[in-house]
Amino acid sequence: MTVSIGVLSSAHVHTDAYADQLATREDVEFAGVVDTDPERGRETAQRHGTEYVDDVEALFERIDAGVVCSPNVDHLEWIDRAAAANVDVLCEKPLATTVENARTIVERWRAADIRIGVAMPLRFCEPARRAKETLEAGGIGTIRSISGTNRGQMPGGWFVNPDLSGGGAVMDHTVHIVDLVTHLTGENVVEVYAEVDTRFHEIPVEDVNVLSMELSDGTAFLLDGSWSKPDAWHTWGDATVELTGSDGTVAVDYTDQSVVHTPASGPDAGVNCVFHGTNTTEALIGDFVAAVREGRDPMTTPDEGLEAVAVVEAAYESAETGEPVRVDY
Amino acid sequence: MRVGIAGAGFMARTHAEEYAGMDIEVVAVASQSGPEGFVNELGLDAVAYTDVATLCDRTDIDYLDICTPTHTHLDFVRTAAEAGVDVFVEKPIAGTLEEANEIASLVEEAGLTLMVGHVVRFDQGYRAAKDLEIGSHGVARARRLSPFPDWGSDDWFADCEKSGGVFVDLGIHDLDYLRWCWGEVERVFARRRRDAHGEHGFVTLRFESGAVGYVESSWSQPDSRPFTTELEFAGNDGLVELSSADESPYQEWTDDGAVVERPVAKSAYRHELEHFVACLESGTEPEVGAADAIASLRLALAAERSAERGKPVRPEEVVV
Repeated sequence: MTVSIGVLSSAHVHTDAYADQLATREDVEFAGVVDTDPERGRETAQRHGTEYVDDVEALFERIDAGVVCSPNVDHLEWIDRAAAANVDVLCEKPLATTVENARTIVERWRAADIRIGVAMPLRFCEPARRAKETLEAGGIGTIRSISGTNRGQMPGGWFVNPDLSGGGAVMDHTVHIVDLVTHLTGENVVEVYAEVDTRFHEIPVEDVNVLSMELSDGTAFLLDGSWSKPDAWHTWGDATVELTGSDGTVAVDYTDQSVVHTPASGPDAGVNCVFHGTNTTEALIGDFVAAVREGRDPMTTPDEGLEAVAVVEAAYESAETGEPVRVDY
Repeated sequence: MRVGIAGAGFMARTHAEEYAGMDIEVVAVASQSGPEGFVNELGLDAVAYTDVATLCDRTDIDYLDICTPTHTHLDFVRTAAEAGVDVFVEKPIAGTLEEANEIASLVEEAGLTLMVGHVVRFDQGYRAAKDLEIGSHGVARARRLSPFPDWGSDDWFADCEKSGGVFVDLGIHDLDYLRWCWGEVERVFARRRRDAHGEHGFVTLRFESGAVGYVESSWSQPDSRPFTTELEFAGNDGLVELSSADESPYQEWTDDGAVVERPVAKSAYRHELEHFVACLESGTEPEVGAADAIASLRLALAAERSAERGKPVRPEEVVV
């Protein structure tokens, strides 16, 4: 059975990666793109051989599901509209920019008969899956500490406009590893202490994001999610997590499966990395399409998306007060 | 030059092996249980003593090299000061500020030269990293991951009263190095997990400059994992990365196993000891004197206090 899917806003930099999947999958009919910025929407539709649709409701009539790639602050509104039209949703992360909005999304999800997924591709990273198997088999004993990174280059655009993004590196680069750690350990973050600042770029949002956290079982969890990688670095950033237990350590480094390419000239001159590991976007979209088709939950559900948003909100509160903050779920 | 070594454990051995390649004679070694085995094994032409005071009565030694457990440092510095002998002491300078301050006073009153063995400053990779251009400071990352140090005599590392725990003994390497590179620290926040034979902790730092940093220190790694260090300096105009795990300049595989080594003609310990000896010869102050070592100890103790209290701590709050 083919599932009909549309793109709901193409503001996010990941839109093209999702649209590529929608355009090439045999089990998907890529029905079109809607966007609050018609020119951006048209260009996206054109790049992926689908149509730009002016009338959102008209697109909703034709699709089973939509992929929300809007600026962060608009996630709730898109989900509201999709839920009203009984359309399933895969939402770009973070689920929302406030716990309040994330809670509203969870309520909508529980009240409506629709499937909502949150885009957490790291859960599909093969080395992370291996880690989960090892942890579930008790391979490293009782976990004592977790050290994670999700450094990146500064993304620019609406990501640095707090009215659209809801914040900088804390908003952008906390949730991936927090979600992965929650997924791997089955524990929640219960406390956050944050060192946050703007030190790398002249931007109106923070680019330093160093979080010291505690999990519900007492595990210490440090995360560096700063936008600290120079544009000249060999790739967009990193995503790593290292878990140390009583009987061993497991480490996952998502981008460490890459071909090194060094063009001698042109705009990409210098060392570049071409990722050759398992395509997590393909796995993420594949899971979502199957969820829509089978009427089941996708890998990451809104209640889980809410947990990561709660950590983000606690991190901002800690940065403001200078004290560790309990996470309120 | 002639040196007397206090201690006959892991660090005494490390130093003695370096002295063998330097123009330094190890003429005396003292350890409570008698260092004859140590002296013989290393082929030293040294007299064995069971107490440091008797060793320091010798008039022919140029300095005392204290390689004993942390909680014994003050006593041996006192002995050296009474004998008027210069001192090299392993890090940390002491386990408490009270003891460290007393060491500083003793050395000052006796007019002696003292250096504390913050060896990371003499690691050539870390030394090079310090001066690479990155623009203004953003985030510093330093990790030091080791199995539990079970090589101490009577398992003294496991006794926090003696070793101070993972921040005071291991984390202090990176805390001292980061202070050296990025200046003084305004506040720390730390977490750690500790049980019978494992400890792992994180310290986040806010420097007085406004820059942020963090130190991860582990005594929790499995024996199969090589000792691992990692350093990163991120600034607004560049990035510095240094990782032991990424360096394998010499590898060897046989049917019996694999070997990865990072051989250098002069180890960091050698650079450190050569610097100290050069200071004694020229009458100059070593790079890491008591004041510096005390500031780094204060930072490690602040981390320890933060981990205990669950609150951020300013180093100046730590007075004992």
